[in-house]
Parts: sequence; structure tokens; C-alpha cells
Amino acid sequence: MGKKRKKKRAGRARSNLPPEKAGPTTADRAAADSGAVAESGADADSAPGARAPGSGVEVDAGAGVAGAQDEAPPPEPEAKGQDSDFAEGSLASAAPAGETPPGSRRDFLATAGGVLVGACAVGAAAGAARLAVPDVLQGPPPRFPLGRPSDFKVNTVTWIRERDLFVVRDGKGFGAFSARCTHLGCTVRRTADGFFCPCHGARYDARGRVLAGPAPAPLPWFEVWLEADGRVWVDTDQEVDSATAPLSLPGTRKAGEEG
Amino acid sequence: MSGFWAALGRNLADLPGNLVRGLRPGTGGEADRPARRMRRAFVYHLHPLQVSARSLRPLTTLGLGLTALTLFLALCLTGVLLMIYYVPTTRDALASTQDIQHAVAFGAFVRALHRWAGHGMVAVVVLHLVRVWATGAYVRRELNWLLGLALLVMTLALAFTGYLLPWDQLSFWAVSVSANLMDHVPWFGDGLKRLLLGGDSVGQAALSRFYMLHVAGLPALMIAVLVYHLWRVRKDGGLAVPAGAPVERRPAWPHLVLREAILILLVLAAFSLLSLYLDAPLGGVADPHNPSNPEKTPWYFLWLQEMVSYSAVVGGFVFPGVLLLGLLALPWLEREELDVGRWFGPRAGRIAVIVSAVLSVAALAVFVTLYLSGGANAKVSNWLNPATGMIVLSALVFLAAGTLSRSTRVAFLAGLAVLAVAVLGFTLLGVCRGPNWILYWPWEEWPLVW
Repeated sequence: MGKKRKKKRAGRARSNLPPEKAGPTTADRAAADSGAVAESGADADSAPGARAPGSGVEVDAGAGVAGAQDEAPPPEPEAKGQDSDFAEGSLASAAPAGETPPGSRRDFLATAGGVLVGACAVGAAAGAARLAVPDVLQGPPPRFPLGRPSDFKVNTVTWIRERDLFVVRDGKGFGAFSARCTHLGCTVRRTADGFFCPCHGARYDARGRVLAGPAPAPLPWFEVWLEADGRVWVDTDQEVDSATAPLSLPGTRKAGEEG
Repeated sequence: MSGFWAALGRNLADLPGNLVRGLRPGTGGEADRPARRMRRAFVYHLHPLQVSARSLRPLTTLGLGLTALTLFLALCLTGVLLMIYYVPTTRDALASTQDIQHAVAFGAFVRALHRWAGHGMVAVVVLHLVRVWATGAYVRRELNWLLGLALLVMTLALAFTGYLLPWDQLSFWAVSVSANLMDHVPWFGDGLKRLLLGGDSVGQAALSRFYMLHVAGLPALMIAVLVYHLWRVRKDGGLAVPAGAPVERRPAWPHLVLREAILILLVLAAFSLLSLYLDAPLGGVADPHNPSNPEKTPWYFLWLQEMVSYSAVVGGFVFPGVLLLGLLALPWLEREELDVGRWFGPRAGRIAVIVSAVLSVAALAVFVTLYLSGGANAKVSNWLNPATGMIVLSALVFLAAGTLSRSTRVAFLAGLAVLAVAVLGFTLLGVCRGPNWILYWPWEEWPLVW
């Protein structure tokens, strides 16, 4: 295992140093490990991708010489004995410039770096998406007064246009339900026997139960109560079962049941 | 002194020639050759030096990709012009659009061009997808197929976000109804709707978001993906060519470049003419509490709306899900290289598509008739409706065609043809929906309703 890692190191040194200098520079890091010097040196010599000594020396002279001069002896001849080993190394080094051999430290760092940057990007995107989901909704509050009881005559249905609501009052009490069709949210209209959605033809009876059409659910009823201020209030966040709404609506309900 | 005057006089005399040469590098003598080569190189950056003679024939691609690209560029230009006057607030949006329509020089023309080019781009991009599917040009080009699907989704999103901006009755309710389709998406529908609308219904928050997406977010994304898409076409070796067919090559310049220039000009001319004579519609101010009768989505979502009027779950989720999965899976499950680039592939493919299309039309007619005459029982129609029927038929045709022909190409041609017929059929039904959601023939006059 340790041997393998050393070989990759040698490969890296080779890529930016002239061949003669590669061995010693690597050796300075791998000095503690025996055999490293020989291996890397031999590697460098046999690498097909290595630069020609002439050009390399001139360009990289500063860095290469500085690293090389104070340390490590030149490659030792016993490297020849490890033929099979450095043949393998040569194969790895035959990869085109810029590609890292799989399993190497550079490969690991590149992958880890990519994953980290990717994770940051995903995190930033998630944050941006979260920003776009509003924590405070615009519009009027869900709880609001409908008016004084005397504003609504007995046995009538009143359309509260601005809030898409119907308020019903009969002999027993008050009720309120949504005027928004449960299909695709259009405002329903009153008909002789109930309600009708002009958008896609859903029909409801007088209590908002589905008679026909694509509506998947009845019109929702909301909680209403008489507040201490003497007005009838509604909370459109609180749905109630229409069957328990405190009213009977004798006239209209009968027509709805017949239809 | 005299040298100065002489030089000035000479330069003035030479001005016409020097203007031409100086402003158009590459037209001069030998010294200008590098510049000339660079101009040519720009074209070769987009196209290879030589292209197959096949790709020069109009019927190979119908020029749909380039038409879409042309319309996209026209939309960018006209869109920027419209931004000069448009104000994205619920109070001023309609008024500023009316200004563009009536009080701005060439405003009505530019607005009409933007509107019709937008509709045209949706149609052309869909046809482009159909062409790539029908000619098997997705084989071994998985990435570009996926990029293309992304571009289709972005095109629809751009058209949809733009639809709201005039803030008239038509646009408000069309977008409201479409956005409420998301109520029927299970689990994440509500979150998605809030993310898009910035609330539970269409209001100022939605208008701001749609404006941002329409003029900045989506176009930026689209340009990035579009460039990648075009680059991949070239990297994948240009237009798909049938395996084993002899390839005859022609120089891209002038053969291909000339044809492309002609197509671009024809497209621009056609849409300009259309926009001169046909104004973009503009209705009265949006009334969020009073929909018209009937209220419809834009035409490219009518098929969804029609299916959702049968069943919210099947129409809004199952059918589009099956269609999208089929399209996503296509280049991974269908990898036959034979007959790539040929319309409807091998002979068996052509037969299969014809049989499957005829079968689908008949089945759709039967399903719809049964559904409409069957009375509305919500519990049953939730699963037993024409949309479900077409999904099942598609699966059956897919398996049957594949088994009989032993070819994945034929199976996907026949199976997706059923879904294509379904989308087309439901769109036509949606077009025919009139007041009270009753079906009328397109030439029939609608009765007056309140």
C-alpha cells in the first residue's frame, strides 16, 4: 500500500520538473522510506510523457535546482531490479496531462473538492428556493368580522365578493362557506338550486355539496361566531363540517336534495 | 506644414475606400487575410467544415430547431423593447400594456410580434421534440435529449409567465386556473404553489415573481442551456445519419449557411406579416372575484385542463407523469442505431405508428363518448376516464408493438404515438369547450351567458 502511494507521488513530481530533478525532489519527502528514491527516479526516466531534458531544464531551472541541490543522492542503479513495478508506474504516467490516476491522493482531493463545491451549490440553491417561499403572506387576515346579525336577513345567502365567501342565515343561525370552486379556484355563481362554476362546469347544491362535474370536494364551510363586539366573525382557516353548521336552510336545502 | 495639408487632403480623398476597408476587416488585400479567416471561422465555430448532404434536405429536420432559435432571439429583442414601457404592478400593468398597444410608436406591432413569436416558439419546440423522437435522433445522445427536454420545459415556463403580465381578465384567470392545477399535485403541490405565486392566489407577489422569471431568471437559464444544447449537436457529430448509409459531404459554406439564412429570413418575415395584420388580444382589467365563462388555460395547457376536468389526480399528475417518464427513459431504453435519422425508423416503425395513431383516435373517440354519456359519477370517473384509458392503451400498444417487431424503436414509436394523439385530442376537446363547459364546434356560435 505504502509502496503504491509513493509511486503516485513520483508521478506528480515528474509532471512539473525536468526528469533529472524529479528524483531528488521526491526523495526529500520520501527520505524516511527506503526504496523510494530508486523507484521514483527510475520512473521518471522511463516516463513517455516526460519533457525533453533540454527544454525542461531551462524553463524550470530555478525551482528544480533549488529543490535538488541541497539534498538526496542521484537515483541508484538498483532500481533496475524493480522492472515490473516501474512498468506499472509508467502505465499510470501514460495518462494524458491533467488526468489523475484513480485512487491517488490528487484524485481523492479532486473528487472531494468537487463534492464540496457541489454541496455548497446545492445548499445555496436550497437557500435561494427557501427565500422565495414567503413566511408572511400578503392579503387580509383569515379572521374578520362579517357584520352585525341584523345586516343579514333570515333565509338569505349573501355573497361577500371581496373575500370569495357566501354567508347564509336561516331561522336557526349563521353559516359561511367558500365561493371558490374546489376544482381550480374559480368563483362559483348562484343558480336556482345551488351553485355553478363557470370555468369547468362543476355543480354544487345549496349546501355546497358536489352534484356534478370535476370538483373533487364540497365547498368548505368555515367557523362563524358572535363576537363580544356584537358582530358575526368568520375564520377562514377553520373549516367545519357543513352538516354541523348551525342552520337548516329549509327552502334551498329541499331543492338541493331533489336535484 | 505642407506635408500636413497634403496628408490630410490625401486621407480625405481616400476616405470612402478606407471606410469600407477599415470598418470591414477582411475585405482588403493580402494583409487582411487573418481577419477574413476569423469571420469565416465564426461560422465554422457553429458548423463543421463539411456537413452530410442529407442534412441539407429540408425534410430531414424541417428546420425546426433553427426556427425555434430564431423565434427565441426575436422574443429577446421585442421583449427588451416592451420592457421600456411595461410596469409590473397590479395597478399599472394593464394601463402600461394599453399604452404600448395604443400610444407607443410601433408598440402594437412589437407586442403582437412578441405574442405570436411566443406562441410560435412553444409550437415549434414541441414539433422539434416530435421530430427528434420520430427520427430516432436521440440514440447515443442522451445528454442532449435531456437538455432538449429542459429547454421545452423552460419554453413552456416562459410562455406561461409571460401570459400573466398584461394583467387583463384573460391572463389573470388563465394563470389562476393553471396555478391551481398544482393543488392536485400530491404532497408538495401546496409548497410548489406558494413558491411560484408567493401566496395562495395570484396577486402582486405572483406578478413580481412572474416578471422576474420572465425577463431575467428563465431567459438567463435558457441561454445557458441553449448554448450547451447547440454545442452538443456539433460535438455529437451533427445531424443523425442512418448507420451504414453512405455519407456524401458538402462544404457547410455556402450550402448550409445559405439555407439557414433563408430560413431565418422566412421565419422573421412570416411572423412580422402576421403581427402587422393580427393584433395581440388585450381584455379588460382582471377581476379576481369574477371569472368569465368559460375560463381556459393558454392553449398549450388545454390538454391538461381537459384531463383535469375528468379527474384531478389522473389528469394533473398521473398522465403528465407517465408522459414525462416515457420521454426521460427514451434514450436509455431505446438504443438501436439502425435507421437513426429516418422518419419513423424502419418500415415496421412506420406501420406501427399509423396503426397506433388510428387505434388511438378511435379509442379516444369511444372513451370520450362513453365518459360524456355515462353521467358524472365523481367516484368512478376519478379513475375510469379517457385519460386513464389512453395511458392503458399506450402501455398495451408499447408492449404489443415491441413484442411483434422485436424492436425497442418500434415499441417506443407506437407507445408514445398513443400519448401524442391523446395530448392532441384533449387539446382539441379543450378548444371546443364553451360556456358552462359544454362542447361546441369551433364554427358554432356560443350562446350568451351571464
